[in-house]
Amino acid sequence: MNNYNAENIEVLNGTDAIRKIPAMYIGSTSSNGLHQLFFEVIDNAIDEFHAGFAKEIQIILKKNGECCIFDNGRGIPTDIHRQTGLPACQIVFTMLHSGGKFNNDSYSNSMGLHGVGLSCVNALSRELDVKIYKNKKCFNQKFSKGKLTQKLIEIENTDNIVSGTNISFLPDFDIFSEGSSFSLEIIKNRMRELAFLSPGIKISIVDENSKNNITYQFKGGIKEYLQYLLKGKKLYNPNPIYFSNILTKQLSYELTFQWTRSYGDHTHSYVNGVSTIYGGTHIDGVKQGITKTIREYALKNGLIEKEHIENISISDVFEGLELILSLKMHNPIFEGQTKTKLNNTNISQRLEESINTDFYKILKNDSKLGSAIIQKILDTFYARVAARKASDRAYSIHFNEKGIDEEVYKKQFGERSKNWHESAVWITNDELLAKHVEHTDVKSDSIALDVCCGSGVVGASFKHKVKKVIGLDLTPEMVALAKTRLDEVHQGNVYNLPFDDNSFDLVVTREVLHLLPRPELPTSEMFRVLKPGGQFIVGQILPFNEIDAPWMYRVFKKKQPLIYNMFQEEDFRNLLLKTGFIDLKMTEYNLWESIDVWIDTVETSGLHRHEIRNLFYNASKEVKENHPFKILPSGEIMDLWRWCIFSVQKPS
Amino acid sequence: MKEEKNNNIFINLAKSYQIESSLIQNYKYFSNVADYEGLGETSQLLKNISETSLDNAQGSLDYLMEYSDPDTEMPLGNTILHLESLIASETKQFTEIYPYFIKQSRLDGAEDIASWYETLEKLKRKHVEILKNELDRIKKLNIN
Repeated sequence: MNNYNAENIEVLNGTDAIRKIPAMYIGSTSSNGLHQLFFEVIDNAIDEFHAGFAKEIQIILKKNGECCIFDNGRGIPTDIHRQTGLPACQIVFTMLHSGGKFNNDSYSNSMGLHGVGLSCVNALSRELDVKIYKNKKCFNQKFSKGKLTQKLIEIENTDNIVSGTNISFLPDFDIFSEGSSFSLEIIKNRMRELAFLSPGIKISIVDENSKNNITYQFKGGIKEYLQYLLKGKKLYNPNPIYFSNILTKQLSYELTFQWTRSYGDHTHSYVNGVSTIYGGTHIDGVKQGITKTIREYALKNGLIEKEHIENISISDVFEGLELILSLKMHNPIFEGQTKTKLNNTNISQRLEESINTDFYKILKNDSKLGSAIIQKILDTFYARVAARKASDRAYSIHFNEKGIDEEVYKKQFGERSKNWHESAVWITNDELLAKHVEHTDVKSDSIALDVCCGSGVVGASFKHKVKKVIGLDLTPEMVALAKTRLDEVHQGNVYNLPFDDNSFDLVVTREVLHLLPRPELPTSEMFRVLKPGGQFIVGQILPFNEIDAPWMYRVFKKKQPLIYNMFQEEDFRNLLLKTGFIDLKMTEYNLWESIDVWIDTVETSGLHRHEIRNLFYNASKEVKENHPFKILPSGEIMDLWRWCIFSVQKPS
Repeated sequence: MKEEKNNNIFINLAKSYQIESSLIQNYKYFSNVADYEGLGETSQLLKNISETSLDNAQGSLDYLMEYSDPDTEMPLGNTILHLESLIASETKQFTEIYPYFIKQSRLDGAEDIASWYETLEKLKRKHVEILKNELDRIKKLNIN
């Protein structure tokens, strides 16, 4: 360009800048970004509650995609702003870094801070209509794509509202990804969470699409919230631990936690009501404070030998822990506008010291509780050491004719049998089972074998297609479970099936062969026990292609140390065809799986759970383009698994 | 391109490049573990040093540009040369290095590690396909 001069320099006003690079302000233009708009408005309403003014928030999700949020707080100021000569509300909706939260006079601890919230919502909305109620008067202003379309005017207060703010906005769906819309589920979860964190507030949601009316109002705060989260979980200590502290005028916290018999740690942290799903310095302080207290208490009371104390890791202490931290502070520093991680450096140590003091007092005054917690942590520690040994042993398997080390598998799957059906969505998903059954091509008087049958759900789904289903599993606990579903169940090893040649018309198995070294040996065994012309149906989760395969290998291997194969479609086809099977057919079925549920299991260490989450959070663009997954605003990860169901025949 | 055979400068640059490159990964990986252990400040410190190590590795690469790619000994200097060298490097991985590692792992009874190498082998093959397409595309642009 030869004429490069001042005319070429583009100066964008605030809302234009947001429209040009929306992801910089709201994280993304996907569903998460869309919901960020909603949360920005809600954050302001909640701030009005915490400032002592709003008592109620009403949300309406309209059929046309519009969202209306009303709070009965003070109402956004409408008077003329001295510096600009414009109504204050107009500034809030059109100028970046404006608002009442830069000094601490109007709001002591606010959720919104950066002063871009409402201007973002306005900039990214096709239409925005705000009604502000003050002293029974109603003022109205309208915008489109961030631009003023109707100046602030007074209108008739038909609703007879004394004070408050009602913001109705229709997001600009040209900006957000195709198909994005407000999810009642996401909104409900966040509103429930906020109602727990703001005891007394009444939040109502009307969804015109599903015709759902929901109201949340809780008085018990985070104590009641913990009880809600613990529903259905088996508890270790009968009563939750709770304490709160005002450290300074600017810093206070409430903390409650309880150990359960699950495996993952579930920490829920909030800073001024903002959910910090990636943790941060406050969670560092909590982890260090609780772990330090446990070590000190155990040592002082002779509950753990001195030489073992340093070996008790944070992972041991936090396993099965359900914890809620609600921190209130001035000037929180978050990582990014979506505020998912707290970065204030001085917080960690202050929380650690305070928690150490208070938690120690609780344990000291309740030695029964102290002993129970230490015993739980010691059990976890010994289980971790044993699991590591098992994993090391599995790792160094020198495969021979005797096959695998059965004890490693028996131990793990014996433990997992306790909550087998709850450990992943796929295990009992009817549609997935039906996808296996629809391949069936044997007569109704056939005899079927379900190999590595687990609880017998796969074999049971074939019962209406054949005369008899026999199961086989290595683990006595699984055999006992399967006996409730199948006609006959044997205990045995897949490398040496305890059946004669040519015994079955149909053999089925699912998500097993990746756990077995030298998978060609078990497939040969299945071939052997099938009658000539018999059918083998096998389901397996496979990567979408070669690009997501190494990433998936890491995710799966960290979850399950017994993974030996990350098959790709070509490998799996070759495995079956080289075994001697013919007439290969394959169907695909994609199923969403909750990674958080899937990794809450005995064989996955705390560190590995953390690493798995990071593999999703930090997945490369190349992986994301090839493997669909979603990170919900709650931080929960939903992964799309590509199930491939193969059918092959033994030659006649 | 300077002569690199038996050239101590080239040999040391190649080594320092390799050392710093692997250090970046160590720092990043260990930062993640520290984060899990609730040692946020240590985690951040390690992350910061990993970023510095990136500069350190690239500092050696600045000089290697005058010699050649230490892996392929092919000339560097512009994007066409870089793509050609990367294609050669990745091709070597999936035709020689990983197939040997896979075979060796199976002989040693480490079936899971063999499977890990197999996923890498296939990925390298795919990357070469992508890089070759890109090379063809930019050669047609005739910019280098």
